[in-house]
Amino acid sequence: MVIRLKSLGKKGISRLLEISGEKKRILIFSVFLAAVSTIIQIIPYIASYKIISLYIDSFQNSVPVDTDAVFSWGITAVVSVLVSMLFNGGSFVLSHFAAFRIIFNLRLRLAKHLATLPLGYFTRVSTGEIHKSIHDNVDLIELFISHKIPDLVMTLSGAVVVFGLYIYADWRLGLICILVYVISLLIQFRIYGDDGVKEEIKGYFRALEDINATSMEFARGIPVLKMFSMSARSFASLKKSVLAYRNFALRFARRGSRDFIIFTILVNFFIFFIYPVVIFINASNPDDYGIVLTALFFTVLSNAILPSLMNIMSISNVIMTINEGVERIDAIFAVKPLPVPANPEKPRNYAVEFDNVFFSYHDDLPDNGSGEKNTERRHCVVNGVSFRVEQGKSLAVIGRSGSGKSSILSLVARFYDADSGSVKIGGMDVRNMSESCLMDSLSIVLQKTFMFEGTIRENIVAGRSGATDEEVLNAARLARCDDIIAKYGLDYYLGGGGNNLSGGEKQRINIARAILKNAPILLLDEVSSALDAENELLLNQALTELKKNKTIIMVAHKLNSVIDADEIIMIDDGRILARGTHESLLRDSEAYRNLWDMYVSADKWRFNAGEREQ
Amino acid sequence: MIQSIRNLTGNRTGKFFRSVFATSLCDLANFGGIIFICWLLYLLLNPYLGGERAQTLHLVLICCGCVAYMVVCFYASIPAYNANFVSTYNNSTRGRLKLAEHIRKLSLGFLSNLNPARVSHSMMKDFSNLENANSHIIPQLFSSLIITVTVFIGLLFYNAPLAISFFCCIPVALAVLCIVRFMGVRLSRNQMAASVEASSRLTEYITGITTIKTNNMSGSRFERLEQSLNRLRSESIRLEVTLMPFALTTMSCVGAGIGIMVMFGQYKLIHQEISVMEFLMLMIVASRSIAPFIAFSLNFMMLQYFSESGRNIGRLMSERPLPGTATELPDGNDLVLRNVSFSYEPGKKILDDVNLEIKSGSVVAVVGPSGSGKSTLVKLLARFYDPDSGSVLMGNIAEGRLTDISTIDPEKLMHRYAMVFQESYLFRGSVADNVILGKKDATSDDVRTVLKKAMVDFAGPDDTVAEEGRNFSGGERQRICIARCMLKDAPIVFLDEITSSLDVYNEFAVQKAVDELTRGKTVVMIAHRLKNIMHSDMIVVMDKGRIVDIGTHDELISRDGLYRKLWHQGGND
Ligand SMILES: Nc1ncnc2c1ncn2[C@@H]1O[C@H](COP(=O)(O)OP(=O)(O)OP(=O)(O)O)[C@@H](O)[C@H]1O
Ligand SMILES: Nc1ncnc2c1ncn2[C@@H]1O[C@H](COP(=O)(O)OP(=O)(O)OP(=O)(O)O)[C@@H](O)[C@H]1O
Ligand SMILES: [Mg+2]
Ligand SMILES: [Mg+2]
Repeated sequence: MVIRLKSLGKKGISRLLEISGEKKRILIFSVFLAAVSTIIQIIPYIASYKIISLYIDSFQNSVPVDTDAVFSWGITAVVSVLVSMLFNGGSFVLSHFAAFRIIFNLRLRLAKHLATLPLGYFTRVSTGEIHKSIHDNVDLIELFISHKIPDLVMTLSGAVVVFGLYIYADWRLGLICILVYVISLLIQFRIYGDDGVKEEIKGYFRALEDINATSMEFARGIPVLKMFSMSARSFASLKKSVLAYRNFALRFARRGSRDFIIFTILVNFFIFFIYPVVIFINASNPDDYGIVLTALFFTVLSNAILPSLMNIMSISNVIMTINEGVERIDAIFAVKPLPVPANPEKPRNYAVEFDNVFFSYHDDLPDNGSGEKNTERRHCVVNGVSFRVEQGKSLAVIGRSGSGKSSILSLVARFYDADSGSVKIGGMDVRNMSESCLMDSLSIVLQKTFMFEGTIRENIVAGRSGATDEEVLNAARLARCDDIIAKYGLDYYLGGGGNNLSGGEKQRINIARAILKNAPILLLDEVSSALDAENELLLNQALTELKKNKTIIMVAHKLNSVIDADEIIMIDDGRILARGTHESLLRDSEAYRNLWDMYVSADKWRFNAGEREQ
Repeated sequence: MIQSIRNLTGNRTGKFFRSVFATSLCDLANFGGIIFICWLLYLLLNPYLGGERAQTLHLVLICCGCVAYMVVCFYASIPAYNANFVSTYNNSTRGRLKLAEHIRKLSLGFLSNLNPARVSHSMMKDFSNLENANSHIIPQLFSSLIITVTVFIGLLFYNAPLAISFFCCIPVALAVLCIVRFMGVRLSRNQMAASVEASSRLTEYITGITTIKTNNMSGSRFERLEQSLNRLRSESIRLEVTLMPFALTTMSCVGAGIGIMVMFGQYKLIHQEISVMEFLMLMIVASRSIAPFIAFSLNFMMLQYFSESGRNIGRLMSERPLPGTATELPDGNDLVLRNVSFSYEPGKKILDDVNLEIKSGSVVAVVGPSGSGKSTLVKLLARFYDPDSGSVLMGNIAEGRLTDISTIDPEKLMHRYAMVFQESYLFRGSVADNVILGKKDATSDDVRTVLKKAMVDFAGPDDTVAEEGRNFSGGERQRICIARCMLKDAPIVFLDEITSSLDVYNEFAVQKAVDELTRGKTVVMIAHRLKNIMHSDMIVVMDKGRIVDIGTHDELISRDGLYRKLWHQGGND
């Protein structure tokens, strides 16, 4: 059992080393120092035994004690304490440097990996869960590498040396000690043999991830909760996960408690078990005091090894959790990234083309706990769409909410891969382009704004690092951010999520970012939804300016911003319902005509004015 | 140290003493086993040092006694175990829920500066640290201290000079621990700050992954994340490696005690001041007590780190919630803003001397350029913030009975309000979970009805909602939020740009539904599409934090003001 656990831990560790690109050398050296330190630590105990036996011998043989020998053993004891501390310190420093480098690299690799995944992963798995794996589970690894491995080595080397000395001194008594220790280990590890425990640990991890995820959501959704939830206790999911976690923790603690206590007591008393034998031997041969001296030797030495023997207790716990932690990290690595082309190609121009594209968000829904996924919403959101936008032309995509407009843009940016058909830029399938090449050719303003925690400048510069202030200000001007910058300046610090800007201000900063990037293809998803009429008007003018030489695909609900587009496609349920210019659609498409009429009709929201005036 | 412990135990002293007592008892019992061993060894060795020979039966009886003692130890350990684990986990569960409850009551002003990573760090890490501290560190700290002191006193009686020689280095160890205390606090604080920073960078990275990807910033190119991880690394190394020499010094001090005692003891032996046997017994007991003392110093150091967690939680818990205690809600749903000025940050006035009367049952629209303070105005009406000066009143204007809402218990006040936020926010769970937030006793029929009214035709009540509603389109999320607001059915409704992501069909349908549901209610709505609000009872035009005009559409359009300008710019005739 112990062996199996250890080998699992090893596997975990070598896997980690592999992942993090860390050399084994440092760790091995650190482990070596730890072992040496433990062995040296035993010396003072041997010294004290030696001193006592010198006295007993002298008493027995009635000769004066060799005071020089006593003295030198005393010195040895003090010196060896200090030396062992030095080795211990060396091991500590090395293992920490290695451990922190390992987890640093591991985290970076995880972050890089995340960026290669299809976006569906982030729908399926909550931020809290990913965060838990990268932040907290990786911390566990640090604990393991920098503390537990040296501990384990110390225990092992200490045990080997002391038990070896025991066997050497008296194999019968030695065996008794080993036997007691092995039995106590077996008792303690008994629970880990139980398959239920693995499940239990999984549940424990899940509960922790859940707390992480819900508390993060909780923090972000506070305004909504304030308004709608009468008490946090009614915020059921948080409570549920907190309780689930407690139950797992307690059950786990209870489960092991008996074995755990027995283990502690047995180890604490292991030296006692030699005494019945010693008494027996001594009684049968009273003249021989050798066996009593041996018992003395055993007893004195037992004090040296006791703490390390105990240590194994916390290690076994950690090994279990670390295995689960590494498994979870590996699970992230196991998620298939979007395939990378072997020989990336460059687009010849910047026309965008959809060729009979089908797409659905397959399994991108999180489990709702029951394990089954709701199937009815798994239909195709893009249903055989074909179009072509020439370089420098613009395409407007309109349609009802939920008809698949944003999904079409996501496919251009290859956030997802189409199920069938192909999405091409300059005649090249986006799947054959390298990620950086693809992203360099696109500027995107997403429907949902995103702000970095940082200054306004940092937020805009994200579009193109190294842009000068002049360029930033120019992009800001085009995106109608002048008033924001006049009000706050470029160095205004925005909190997480850009909470200290208004909805429209965030949107404009996002637009400025995309404008600064100045890529040949511009994807705009509802970029003026939060803007007032004036800003919208001026922004549209600015975009017209910008449109020269750029391929534009824009999604809009406000039809007045699409009438200038070179082509408009009307989407319904993932299909193209009608296409053409504003004029031709007005002429030929009844659907478009209806939409347009509805849009321009002033008679919209009446608020039952008549009834109210009574 | 007392303070640290208070931070960690959250003042539950009764439970605390119980678990310390139980642990000490259990550890002492275990430690006490050494007496049997010494006794046996003494009796066995005695004949060879000129003493009496003990009867074998006597020895065997002692062995039996020892076995019995082990059983006693077993039963002594169980209460310690329970006291530590059960009460610890119950405490942290209670603490977590209490913190969540508390946070929800804080002012948004405080909360919007608090990043989500900070909150989740407290909910997770800080409480795990507390658990660890309460179930292991603190009980062990005390029990090991008690053992060390007991041994010291015992040895003192047995043979004072030798006992003192063994413990002579301990004052040095204690002095070192005191130094460490001060360093530890600072280092722990830095390390935790770095950890929170890294954690919020990471969250940012995950939630902004599309923006990061599209700007070619992924992986190590995302310097911000890399930098914060690097900082975390160096702070962590600093924390552990700086403290390491001190830890080793304390350990050496205790370890060296053995050596010193040996040297001193042999001097005494030579001068025949103690017997070999005495010396031997002292040595065995003393060397046994090294481990508890080392445990004490390590736990002491860790306590510094963990007590920072207690402080973090304490800091959040001591933040004052929005004031107001009156549980009686004013009678009447008129709202009045009187000379209200407000700023999020000192010196940056967002609302400047705003006066407004909103009659119960009327529909008031707020319009104006982006950033003019519309959402802020609504947030003040909803008491997410209290104004810097002036007051927000609720009641009955005609009868002159108005109550300042800042005197009312915020929880109670929320019963009056429902709101659709400018940015829709959905929680993980089902559609129904999200909608039902506002009204726990709603039946599934109620839910289905509002879903239908809010045009949520794309999903059923049981459909899964991913985090932030990521599996729905922008307009779909908005409609679910509208359903949530409708279901709450409160007398005062705030609608902040609720149709911004909707197409004209849905917009029309949603408007009709909202209209029907808000009949007779006070409605304050913000809109950029002026056509949508042209029929409201009153239109408030805002610019740069001031109300620049108030009137009906016809009145406003007839004046040459901001409203007319916006109206024409919106492409209207
Ligand atoms: N990540 C996702 N996982 C699963 N389903 C999704 C996901 N994103 C969108 N959907 C579903 O796909 C459909 C199309 O969504 P899309 O975002 O493309 O709509 P849209 O046309 O942009 O709508 P809107 O105008 O409201 O933004 C919707 O029914 C939506 O519920
Ligand atoms: N939490 C906050 N902290 C600091 N400043 C803020 C905060 N929220 C808003 N502001 C600032 O207050 C001003 C008014 O914001 P508000 O959200 O009220 O504007 P708005 O009229 O709703 O604009 P929009 O139409 O763009 O939503 C803006 O300049 C904004 O930068
Ligand atoms: Mg969309
Ligand atoms: Mg707003």
